[in-house]
Amino acid sequence: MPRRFVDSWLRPPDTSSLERMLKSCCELGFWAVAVEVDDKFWSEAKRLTSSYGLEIFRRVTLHPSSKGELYNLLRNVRWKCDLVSVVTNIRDVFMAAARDMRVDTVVANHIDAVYLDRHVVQVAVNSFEVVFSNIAVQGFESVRNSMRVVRTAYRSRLKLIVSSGAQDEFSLRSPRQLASIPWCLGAGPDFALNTVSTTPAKILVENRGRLEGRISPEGVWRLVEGEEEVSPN
Amino acid sequence: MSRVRKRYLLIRVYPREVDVTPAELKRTIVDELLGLGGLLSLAESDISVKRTRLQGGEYILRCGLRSLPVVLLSTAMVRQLGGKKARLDIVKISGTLKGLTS
Repeated sequence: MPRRFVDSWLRPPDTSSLERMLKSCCELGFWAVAVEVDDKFWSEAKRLTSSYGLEIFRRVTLHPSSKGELYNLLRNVRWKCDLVSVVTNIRDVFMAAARDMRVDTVVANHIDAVYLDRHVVQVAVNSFEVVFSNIAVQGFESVRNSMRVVRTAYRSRLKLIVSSGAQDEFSLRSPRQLASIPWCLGAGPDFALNTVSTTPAKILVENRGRLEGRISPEGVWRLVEGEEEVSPN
Repeated sequence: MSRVRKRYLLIRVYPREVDVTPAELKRTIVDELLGLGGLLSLAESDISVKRTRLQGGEYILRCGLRSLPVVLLSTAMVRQLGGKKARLDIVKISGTLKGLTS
């Protein structure tokens, strides 16, 4: 079975650029996209995605300034979105986000990202995220942070996701170009391809199942007779 | 002396209206490659833009197998072509020219 590629962060400013981005994603061979849009764009985004044959997931990116604020935000958004991500440069908040089960990914390659040491690795449960647009815009400091994240995740067998973080169609990249980031920075080719396919797809499909009530609290899928089995692969 | 294994990349320029010659495209990728990996990476990669296909905006790039990840990342880092906003899409990767064009 071929890989299903996922771009787990698109942040279109308006509907027209979203349409151009979805068309490009379809041409680049993505199976699904996670889009960060507000409530009024969400129904329009779903309609557009169905016309291009893509799966769409809703993403929210939190920028908390304290642990208390993080927990408040999570209480509000967890059961509204498919993917919850956290961006922070405060070490306490970073560690809290890395171990909280309501968070899916923690962005770890921006210019003032928290240093990823063994203390963070010990508590980390969630995926770390490397964003391509950070590398393209912020230069070598972001590459240095990305290198540290990729090598730590590869060595410590943590989950890693690579996304484009695109704001227009020119910032999108093909799945193999996104996978080349961890591949260049020290990970194996299979691990690198998993960061844009299996790992994000599994998170998104499971979260969608939870939101639709198709996964029991024990983590078991409820299948109805005649219904297609859902698999992230 | 062992044979150097090659990889051929089918590259599509987006948007198609951006007109660029193979030499200009190679120059752009070489600049990015120099910035990412330096002279040693550039020498090892042995890249060349082979020829354009009949369809507009499609090019074939050849590189060494060992340099494939850094060449892929170099193509990803390209954000402008001929002064216009553009991106390079990797359509297909193959070990032979025949496999790429079939």
